Formats: sequence, structure tokens, C-alpha cells
Amino acid sequence: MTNAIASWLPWAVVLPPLVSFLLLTALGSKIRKAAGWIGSLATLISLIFAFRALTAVSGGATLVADPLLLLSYGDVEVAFGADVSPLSAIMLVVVAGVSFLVHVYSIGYMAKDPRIAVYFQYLSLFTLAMLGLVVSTNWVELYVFWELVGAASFLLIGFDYMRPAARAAAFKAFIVTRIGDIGLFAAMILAFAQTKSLAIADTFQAVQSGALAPNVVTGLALLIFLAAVGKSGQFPLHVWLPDAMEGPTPVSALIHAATMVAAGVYLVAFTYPIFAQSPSAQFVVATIGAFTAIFAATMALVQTDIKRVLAYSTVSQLGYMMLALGAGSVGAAIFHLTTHAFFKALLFLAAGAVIHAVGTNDITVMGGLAKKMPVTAAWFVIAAAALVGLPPLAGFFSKDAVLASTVPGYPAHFTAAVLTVLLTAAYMGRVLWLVFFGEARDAGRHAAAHEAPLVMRAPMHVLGVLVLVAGAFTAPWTGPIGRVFGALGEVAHAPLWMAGLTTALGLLGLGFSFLCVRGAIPCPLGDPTRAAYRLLEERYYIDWFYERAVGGAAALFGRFAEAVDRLVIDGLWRGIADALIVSGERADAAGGGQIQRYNAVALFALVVMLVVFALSMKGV
Amino acid sequence: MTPSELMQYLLFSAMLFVLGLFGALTRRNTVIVLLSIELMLNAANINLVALSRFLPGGAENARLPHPSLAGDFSATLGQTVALFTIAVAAAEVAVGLAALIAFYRLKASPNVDEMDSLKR
Amino acid sequence: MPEVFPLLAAFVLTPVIGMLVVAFVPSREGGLLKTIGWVIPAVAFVFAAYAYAHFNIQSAEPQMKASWPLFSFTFPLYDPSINAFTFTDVSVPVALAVDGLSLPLVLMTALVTFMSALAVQSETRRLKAFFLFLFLLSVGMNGVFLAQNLIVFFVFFELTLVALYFLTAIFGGFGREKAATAFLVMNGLGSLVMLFVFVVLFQLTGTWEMRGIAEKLPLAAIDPTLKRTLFWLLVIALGVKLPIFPLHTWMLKVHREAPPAVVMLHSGVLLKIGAYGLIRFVLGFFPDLMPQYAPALALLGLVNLLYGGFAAFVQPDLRRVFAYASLSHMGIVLFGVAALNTYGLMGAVFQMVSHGLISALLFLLLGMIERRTGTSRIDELGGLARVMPTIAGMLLFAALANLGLPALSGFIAEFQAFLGLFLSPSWPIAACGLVGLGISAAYMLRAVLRTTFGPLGAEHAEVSDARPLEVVPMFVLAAAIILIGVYPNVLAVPLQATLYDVLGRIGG
Repeated sequence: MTNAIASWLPWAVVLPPLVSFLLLTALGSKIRKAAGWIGSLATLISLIFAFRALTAVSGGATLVADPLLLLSYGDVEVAFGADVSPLSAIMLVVVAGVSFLVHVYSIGYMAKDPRIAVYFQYLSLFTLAMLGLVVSTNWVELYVFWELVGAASFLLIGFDYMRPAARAAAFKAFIVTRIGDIGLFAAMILAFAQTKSLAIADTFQAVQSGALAPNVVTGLALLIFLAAVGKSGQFPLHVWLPDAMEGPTPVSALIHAATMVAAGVYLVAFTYPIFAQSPSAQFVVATIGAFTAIFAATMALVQTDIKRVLAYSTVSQLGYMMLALGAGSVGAAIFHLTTHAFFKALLFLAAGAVIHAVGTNDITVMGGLAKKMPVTAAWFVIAAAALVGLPPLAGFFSKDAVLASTVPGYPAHFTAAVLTVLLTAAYMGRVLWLVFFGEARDAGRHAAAHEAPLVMRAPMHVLGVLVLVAGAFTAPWTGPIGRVFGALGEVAHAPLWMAGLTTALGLLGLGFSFLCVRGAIPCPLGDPTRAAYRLLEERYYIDWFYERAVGGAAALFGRFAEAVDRLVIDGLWRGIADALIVSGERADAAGGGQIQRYNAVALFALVVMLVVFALSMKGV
Repeated sequence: MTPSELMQYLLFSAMLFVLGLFGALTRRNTVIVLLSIELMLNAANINLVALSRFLPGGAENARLPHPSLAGDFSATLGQTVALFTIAVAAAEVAVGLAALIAFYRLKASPNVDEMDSLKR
Repeated sequence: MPEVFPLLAAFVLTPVIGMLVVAFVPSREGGLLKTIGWVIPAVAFVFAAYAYAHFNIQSAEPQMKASWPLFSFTFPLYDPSINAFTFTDVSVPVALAVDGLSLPLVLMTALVTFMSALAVQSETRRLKAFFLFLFLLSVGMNGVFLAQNLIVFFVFFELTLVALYFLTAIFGGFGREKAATAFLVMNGLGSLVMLFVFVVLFQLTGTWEMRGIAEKLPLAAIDPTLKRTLFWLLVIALGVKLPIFPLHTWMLKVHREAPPAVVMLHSGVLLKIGAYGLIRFVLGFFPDLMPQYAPALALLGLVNLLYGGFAAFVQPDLRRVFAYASLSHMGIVLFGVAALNTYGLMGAVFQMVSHGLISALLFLLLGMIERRTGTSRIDELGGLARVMPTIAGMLLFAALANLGLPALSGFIAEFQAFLGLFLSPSWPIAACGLVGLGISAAYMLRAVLRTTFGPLGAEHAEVSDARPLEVVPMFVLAAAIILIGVYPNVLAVPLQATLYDVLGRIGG
């Protein structure tokens, strides 16, 4: 490893959430009010250390902390290490930063919830796992935090546990991501089988030195990608993410928009040395990414739940990041990951403020809220514009970086990505016009709406500023931030025609949806009875297929196994037992209580045994 | 003595045993059945005593072909066991006759084929 | 304590003392009985912990040997070289010792026994008899992992059988007699087969000592057919206990009927005797046959894993879900053993300990839920997190541990077992087994989410959460699960030397 610097900083970033998690677990409900502040403070400390780590590695160095040896025998060495490279430094800052803002926002959002301490306990667990994941140096460590992230997400989705929908969503999220995780599990074992080491660096070295067969490298890459597909909601494992919106809205902002779902992208970026050696794996990543981008965008067009629109948008944007990774540009992917974390978190926080105000997720009953909550509306509009990719917002630069990375060699992917811009603009425009402008469709809810309290507005302000400035992060003049992005490799700059094209498409989409919502022009998807609408509404019947086919098959196997148990195996044993009882009764009846008859039978048996013995001994 | 003499003892014992077995299995009168059992026990005793004399280390000190059950205590072992058997047989007859008398009081019959009350 | 203190004997005899004390306490003294009930296992646990602290991790030899003459006899053994029987003096002492393989299990047994004794605290009926049998069971369990010869092993093994029979038949649910009978018959037959194999092994080697047999048997000139037969008979005998499909139906019945504190011990400890025997006897005595039959064992493990998993997915009753889950998890033990490498064996032992703890925790919680709501049927429960947040939270924790969430003990066990099997010639079976990781998440979460999450039934609106005393065993077990999950070296270090020793024979 080049430029390794021994440092305690990596642990200092990870530890505060651990302390806060343990503290909240131990104290529990006794400290209802203080819980939020404990969690926020811990995350703030992490954020400060993460910034220090970022400045320390901006020259391209890597911080290496002392590992903890947890399991060691033979070749197996599970040592929890903590390294911070430029890539992980960016991720640490994004995670700690968004997490801190969401913690603060949640203090207001969750104030009335009786289980607020539990909420912050889970949130701390999530932050801990996410930061741990980013600094991992060992496959097992990576997997441990990877799954803990999933578990924390599962707990938070099911936080509102009384509602069957939340329960079902939590279950779905865990199972679907678990299927992906099996890929990482297998990858970890494959890596060990090939290199006899669980250290990730050893695997990279083996891959780069060409010690592994090309097929093995591709297999390793695809297994890792499977995990990323599960976590980042890529097709065909995207089904859990929209349902995950059953969790509290700040959780959606933090976990299911900004950080955890980006963990899949981070994983691929982090293990990029493996992908780099396998063009076919890269092609798979790019294709899945491009397909997911456009596929999820179409489904977002017809959703009526504001959070679900944002969820599909997240899936779509994660597709962009995967596309950039597949096209070979880690820089573009991480750049987009960063800006997306900011504007999508802002969108969710603003949406949360709206939901908090009107008490529903349904965009068809909102309307005209811009007058009631101007600050929220302003930030929502800015974030949406960033998502669509209008200059000069953050999303414009990062999206064009992604598009530019695909130009050499991926024309079909490029086309899909550009079309996605149009779709993105269309669905975001629909939400904007329906929620914030036009007439109030529910007068009662409209009248009760109000601006969110300061503790919820402040994080939105911070994120809003970031959305405005983050587009410049790759520019060298931003100091350490620019340098650290530079360390990830060259980020392609979009040519002028491409910038013009995406901007034009974005404006076209917004305008089209405006006219649609106003009824000025007939909407292609305006009629709920049309087949196309049904298809999108039913999410291409993929969820339906999973539930029926996969869930049904599992249940069928289960019933079959149980039937075998009851009828065949239990029946077999019972049959043997019955046969023994019957034969015993027969033999019993034959004796009739006559002792001499018993003895005669015994004598006969003895004689038979002796004869058999004598015959068998003949050879000896 | 020679091995053929041992054979005579063993044959005699076998005949005695078979006689006893026949009696125990066929006679109806319980007293005769008990007597027959005594015959079988004594047949075994004869075997034990005879073998203990003829085995290596025994009084006759004759060598028998392999496989030999070697051990220097075999001389006294057979006779000890025979004495045991006699004692046990006496006890067994005492119990058997007691049971017989009790049974006779109940059914007024000494026949063994009527002793099936455990079954009925 | 001085060097000569017979620690292991004290460990085994503590419950015997408990039995004597309980026998002289009048049955109306419920409080006193309960106190004795947890003090005795606590003392035994202290002994076990002391043994762990003083264990020499460098040595593969059995340590802390304690031995008393039990009986000795002279037996004619046929010596083919001189075509004659030779008389051999065979002495069978009560020999106890601990090595790396038994140490984790002894510690786990002591802990689970202690916790299940605490769980009985809310029981009321026929306490005297209950504790008598519980201590009898405890004697058997404490001794069985320490026994150094087959006869002593068998005696302790049978003690557990008798004790569990009565604990199920007297204190169980509605179908208790049937369950107890099914248990006794199947396990009795298993014991019979085992005894037969033991006797033949004695005839072949002339010793009852486990180490003696392990050294002599692979070298002895034995008819290969006989050897193969013995191998499979032993697998069957231990497979009843483990259990291996299709010998498992008795275990479902016991899980369904026995009182929760007993199922804690049954699922937690008794099933592990089968797994222990598999490593100690099947692997220890037949190292030369193992490479040949390892794929078959792995296949049996796969069947266990998937069959149990899919069946658990559709069960209507929590007890049955957990029972099938146990079946499924024992498949992972088989995976580990069949891997025939350090990783796999390590995984198997980890899984034994981990499943012991997790299973005990699951049934502890199930007992609490049953006592409060009067049912363990999933469709009659729901929303319990509202009225009993601690119990529901721990149930979710146990479920996550059971499905192999990293940083908890289940994961590190599964990981090593799979790692081992993937590195062995049977790796395609391991690849199929990966499905089991998904299905285990599905069945555990289905069952637990339906009971703890969702709307609360009106009939359970009044039930109460765990009392302070009930919280203790939950947290202790959870702490042990976390400790092993976070710092696996706590088990791996003492295990190493013994496992290398066991595996060394396979190569040679």
C-alpha cells in the first residue's frame, strides 16, 4: 500500500456511534429526551474526525489503524482493521454528515413518539455499521458490517411495528437483501479459497498480479456485485426499496436514499481492483445499472405516494452510479453518490416536513403547499432540480460526469441514461406541481399545514447549501475536497453538447409534466385503466411474481416436507412399531401360557443356532 | 487318564442332560419336572468337575489341543462352581416345591400345563 | 485451589449432591427447592468456568484427569498370531478429563443448565420431582462430555435418557406421554446400536479407553466390511440424537410437548451429544474411512439444512418452527464435520455451542410467552412488542442470531462450516447449502415478526413484560452469544490443539 500512515483516526470515526449505541441500549427509555442529543453528538464527533481523516488523506495517502485480532488459527485470521483511503474518506464524510443532519432532524420529527430512545438506538447502530463498513480491511469485517447495516435498516423499516405493512416491508427488505448478501458470503469464501487469506488487500494483490484465473476473477466480481445489487436495489432485487418507505421518513432519507443503498455502489467502487480485471463483469455492472436507471424511472411515473416516487428515483439514480462504475469511472460514480446523498436526503427531509404537516403520503390530495410552507417548498424545488440535473446545481455536474464516462464504448447505455433524464424530469415535475402548486385538493389538510420547527428546518438548510455547492467538489480549487476526488482518478467532463442536451431534456420533461398536471395536454399515462398504466402501477408484476412464485414455491416445499414428515417418516416409524406390536401379540398368543411349550421353542432355537454356528465354523 | 476317558465323562453328562431335558419338556407332573431340572443341573456339574481335572493345570495334567483356555486357576474353578451349583439347586428346589404346594392348594392339581394364571 | 483438587469430579458430582439435598427437603418447601435449584447449577458453572480458566491451550491431551476404579474384569481375547485366547485384565475406571473439544461444550452445558434452572423459578407444580430429575439430567450432561472411556460415556448418556423421559412424561403438555415414549423408543434403539458398536470396538481393540481405541483401531487389521458397517451403525446411533433426517421425528414431538426449561436443555445440550459423538467417535475412531464417506455426510447435512428450513417456513406453531430450525442447524454441524479440515471442524464446534445458547434463549423466551398468553400458535399471537417489549426484543435478537446475523455467534459458526466445506471435495454441496442461508432468514423472521410485530390481539392486551428475575437468564445468554460472535477466539484458542490432533490422524 502506498503512503500508509499509522493513525488512530479511523477508530475515532467509528467509535462514537458505538458508544452512543451502547449508552442508549443500557439506559433505554429512561432518557427519552436526551436520546436524540446523545446520538447527534456522537455522530457530530464522528463527522469531525471524518473531516480530519479526509484532510489527512487528500494527498492520496491511506490511514491505517491498529487491527483487532478476533479469530486466528491456521490461515484464518479475522482481524478487524480500519483503513481510510481517499475513497473511504469521502464516504465517511458523506455518511457521518448526512447521518448527523438526519439525527438532528429526527429530534423534531420523532419528538412525539414514545419509543424515541429505541429509534435513536437503531440509528446509532446503523451509523456504526455504516462507518465500520467503510473502513473495513478484512472480508469478514466487511461482511459483518454489511449485514449489520441491513439489520439496522430492517429494524428501522419495521419501527412502526404495529402496522402490518411495516412488518411486511421489513421482512421483504431483509429477505431480498439477504439473497444478495449470500453473494458476498460466497465471494468471501471464494477469496479465501483462492488466496488463503481473508485480508481484502491480499485479494486485490492476487487479482492484480494475475495469480487468479480470469474466470475466478469474474466470478468473484459477479458475486460481489450480487450483494451490491441487493443492497442498492438494482434490478432484479429492487423490490424491497420502495416498500422500505414504510419506515419513518428521516430513516428513508438517511438509509434508503443517502447512505445504505449507496453501500452497494461503494462496495463495487471499493473492490474496483477486482472489477477492473474483468471486462465482462464490468459490462454486466454497466448493463444492470443502465437498465435499472430507466426501468425504475418508468415506475416512478405513476406512483401516488410521495416517498415511493422518491424511492424509485433513488433506485434509478443508483443505476446511474452502477453504470458509471461499469463504464470504468469510479470518480464519476462516487461524485454522483455524494451529490445524490445531499439532494436526495434533502428531498426526503422536505417530503418528511410535508408529510408531517399534512399527515398523508398521498400526493393526489396535496396541492398548493408552497404558500403554506415556502422554505420547505423552496428546498424541495432546488433538490428536485438537482435531481433532474439542471445547472448549476450539484446533480447537473455529477450526472453529466456519469454520462460522459459512458460515451466511449457504451452507446446503448448512454442512450438509456439520457432517456432516463427525460423520465426523471417528468416524474419529479409531476410531484412538484401536484404537491406545491396549483389548487389545494384537500382544504382541511391544507389549512392545518404549517412550516416545520427549526430543528427540522436547520438540517434542510445545511443540505440545501450543499446541493448548491457540491457540483464544484471535483474542481481543484476546492482544496482538500477537490484533491481527494482527484485521487479517485480522472472524472470525465461532459462536452458542451451533452450538457445542453440533458438540460434541454430536463426542461422538456418538467414542462411536459406541468402541462399534463394542468390538463392542458392529454397524458400518456393519465388513464388508470390503460394497460400501460396498470403495468407500471403493478410494478411490472415483478413483486407479484416473487411473492407467488418464489414465496409460493418455498411454502410448497415446506408443506411437502411437512407432509413427508407426517405421512412417510412418522408413518414409517409408526408402521414399524405397529408391526412389532402385532407380531408380539401373535407370538404371545401362540404360547398360551404353557411353560413347557416356551422351553421347547427355546430349545429349538438353540439347536438352530448351534447348527448355524457349526456350519459357519467349518471353514476355520 | 487320557482324553478318551474325558470323553466318556462328557458323553455320560450329555446323556444325563438330554434325559433331564426330555423330562422337563414332556412330563405333566410338576414334581417330575423339578426332578428333571435337577438332572440337568447335575449333568452340568459332572461336566464342570471332569473338565477341571482334565484341563491344563488340572489334576490329570493332560495337554489338550488348541485353543487352550489357559490359566492356573482352572483346576479349582470347576469344582468351586460345581459346589455353587449344588447349593443353588437346593435353594431352587426349595422355592420350587414351595410354589408347587401353594399352587396345589389353589387348584388341587400338580399338573404343569394348568399353571397359566400369569397369562389368563 | 490446589493442583490435586478433583475439579471435574466435583463438577459431575455437584448435581448428585443436589439430588441428595432435594430428596431430604419436604415437597411443600417450594421456595427452598427453587433456591437449591439454581444454587447447585451455579456452583457447577463456577467449576466449569474454573476449568476453562486453568485449561492449558497448548496441549491436545486430555487434561485435569480424574479417575476412580469402577470395576475390572478378565476377558479372553482371541489372538490370531498364536491362534489362542489370551486372558487380558481390563479395568474400567470412572475416568474424567477435558480436552479442547469437550471444554466449550462443558462450559456451554453448565451455562445453559444454570439458565434453565433460573427459568424454572416461575414453575409451581411438583417442584421436588422436577429438580430431582433435572439434577439427574445434569449429572448425565456434565459427565457425558468428560467421559474418557466408552462405558462411562454410555452410562452418562443413558442417564440423560432416563431423566429426560420423566421430565417430558410428567411435566409436558397434552401429548406428553406419546412424546416421551417416542423419545425413549427411538433413543433407546439408538443406544442399543451404539452399545453394540462399543462392544465390537472393545473386542477389536481390547480397550474401552477412547484414546486407546482412536490409536489402535485405524492400525488394526479388520475386515473392511465390518469396519464400514461399524462406521454407519455409529452414524445411525448418533444420528438419532443429533438428529439426522429421517431419524428426527421424535425430536419434534419432544420440542412440542416438553416444558420450556427442559426443551432449553434438550435442544441446547442434548442434541449436541450426538454432534460430539460424531466428532469424537466417528471422526476419531474411523479417520481412514472419513474421506471416503464425508460427501455422504455432507449430503445428509444438506438434506437436514434444507428440509428443516423449508418445513419450518410453514409451521403454524412457534415451538415447531424452532424445532425444525434446530434440525436445520444441525445440518450445519454435519457440514462442518464432513469438511474434514480445521475450518469445518471449528465451525461444527462453534455451531454446537452457538446453537446451544441460541436455542436455549429461544425456548426461554417461548416459555415466558406461553406462560403469559397460554399459546405458542403464531396465528393466535401478534403485536407482543407492545405489551412485552423486553421479551419481544430479545426474541427478535435471538431470531437474528439464529439466522446467522454477523457479530453474533451463529454467523461465525456458519461461516467457518461453509468455509470448510467449500474448501473440501464436497464443495458443490456447500454451494447448494447457500440456499439455506436465505431460507433460514425467511422462516425465522416470518415466525418472529408475526408474533412480535403487527396488531395486538385483544385477549393479550393485559399481559405483562418480563420481571427482573426473568431478565437475568435472557441477558446472560444474549451476552454469551454476543461474546462468541464478536470475539470468537474465546472458543477457537482452546479448541485448536485438539482439532489439529484429530485432523492429524486423517492425513496419516
